[in-house]
Amino acid sequence: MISALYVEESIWEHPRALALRERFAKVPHIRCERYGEVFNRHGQDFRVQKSRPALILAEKHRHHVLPTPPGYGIGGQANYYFSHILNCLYDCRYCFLQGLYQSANYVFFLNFEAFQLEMKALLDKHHDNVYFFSGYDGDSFALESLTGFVRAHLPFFAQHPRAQLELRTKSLKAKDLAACTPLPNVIVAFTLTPERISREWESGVPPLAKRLDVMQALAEQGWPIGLRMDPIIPIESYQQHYGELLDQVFQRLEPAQIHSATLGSMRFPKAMHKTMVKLHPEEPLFATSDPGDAPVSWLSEQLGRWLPASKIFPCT
Amino acid sequence: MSLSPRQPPRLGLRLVVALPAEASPLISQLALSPIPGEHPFKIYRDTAQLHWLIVSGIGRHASSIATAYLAGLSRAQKSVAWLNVGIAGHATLPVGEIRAAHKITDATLGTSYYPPVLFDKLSTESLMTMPEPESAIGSNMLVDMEAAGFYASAATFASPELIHAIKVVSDHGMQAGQRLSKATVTEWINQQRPALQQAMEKLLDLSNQFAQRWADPDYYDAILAEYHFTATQKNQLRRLLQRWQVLLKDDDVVDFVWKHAATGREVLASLAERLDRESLTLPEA
Repeated sequence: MISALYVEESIWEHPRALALRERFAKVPHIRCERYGEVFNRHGQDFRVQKSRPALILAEKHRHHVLPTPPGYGIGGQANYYFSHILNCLYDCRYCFLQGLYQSANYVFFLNFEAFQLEMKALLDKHHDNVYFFSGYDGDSFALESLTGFVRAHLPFFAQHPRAQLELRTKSLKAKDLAACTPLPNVIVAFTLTPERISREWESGVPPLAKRLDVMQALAEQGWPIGLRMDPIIPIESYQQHYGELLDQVFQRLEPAQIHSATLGSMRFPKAMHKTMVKLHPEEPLFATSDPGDAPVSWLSEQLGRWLPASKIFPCT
Repeated sequence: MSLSPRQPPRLGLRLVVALPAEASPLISQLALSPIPGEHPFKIYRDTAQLHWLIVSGIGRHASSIATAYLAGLSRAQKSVAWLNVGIAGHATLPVGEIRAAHKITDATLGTSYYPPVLFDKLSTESLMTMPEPESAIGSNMLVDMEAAGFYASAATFASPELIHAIKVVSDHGMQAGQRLSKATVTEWINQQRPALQQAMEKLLDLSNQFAQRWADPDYYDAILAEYHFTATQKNQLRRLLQRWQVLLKDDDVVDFVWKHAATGREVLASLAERLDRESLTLPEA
């Protein structure tokens, strides 16, 4: 539930802002000059805000689409990411967003059109495929009923086959895609962790079995599917749990239906880790030592039983 | 060595009000008494010294200085909650209505602060802090003379989640020199005691959540007392003891340290070596 709606003064009357103000008529509507006044204030508490997040409606003025960090990709040379939304509906204990941002409030950038203009310019700049990754700063689908961002962008990708879009999600809302014609250049990427791990450390995330149902339905319809096991949670018995997860996935999907699989260890910059520990000092996930690359190597090898190496991408 | 784990901290509120007439219902509600000694402000606290109240006088400067004075005097920790209570004007809201501020703007500086919407049963409103009384309140917001000064000062000492202003509507515009009767002001605040009580309880609850999270781990002081640590090593010890509480909570850390370490450096090394042997496991289903 949204506790308040902050709206930048300049977009107070924007049609998308008006629609959301009407939808959230019962919470306070608060004007601000720029979203950073609310979102970037020093000393806010991500953990407290996570239980009562507010929604901030903002306009993004620049840097709509940015180059991905090194080591982030699924086979392309030109890799970019974009964030129409900052922060996520779910509360995954390992999520780096809690170490990245001061605030757990959701920021939604209303000016969709500017994102597409920048993507078009990047397509013009490159001759080969250009990969655009969504879901870096928040789940691509979880707040789709508020934003309508994916729905609004599919026609752009239908018109530009060289533009490859990754939509990354843990949400059942991805099933809305079933109402659309599959696009070969739109990869629906599901972040997966074994069910027991998900129940322990992914608060609010739908049950794994239901997400696998959605993934299977979309695959059967023809949407390219991405498997994302990043981060791998390094529990003592990870081989057993992740082995079962792979069995569950490949009982439902043919390898040919999978566009790519990425995997990575639980890794944080030092300062980010320090912030996360301060928010959750009692969290076992942050209290045990780093097991190194062993889980990634093991899982990569296991994935090789089903997928060719050309579809497996360890993230660093 | 026989030691008890640290007791959970007990925290109170810091209240800042402009006028004695606004203070008196809160003084009685929280059973506060004047503190002894000479101070530039009237200050009250309860017998357990948990809750403190300061009467700042009128204006944002006075409120700001009083807030800082109270923070120092009461040794307010970062996890203590701060509340500014008082009266405010509003163009249309009925006199006697109560509102929490969700945006506080300093009309003099043009700066705005955004206290989070926290209190389920309190409606919220924007609040403008003016340098002078407003004779005609045009826009749809509360108008006072203190909250922005209070907020800016309190933000130095506490998390923004813990700093709030709650106002009772007193007028629809005041002429310079016009005064409200003290009894009337007291009565308005008095009538809102149930709402204020709920807000204070909510703040205390939140404050205690912060305090528990930020507290030093068990036996931190006990180990510090026995070994020498540099400032950096103290931070390392704090984190190692936190990890011990999480991973080995049933084991006696003090006993372990006695057996394995003769110096501060050895304490850290032995704790780290022991903890690094622990694996991440799933709790029992």
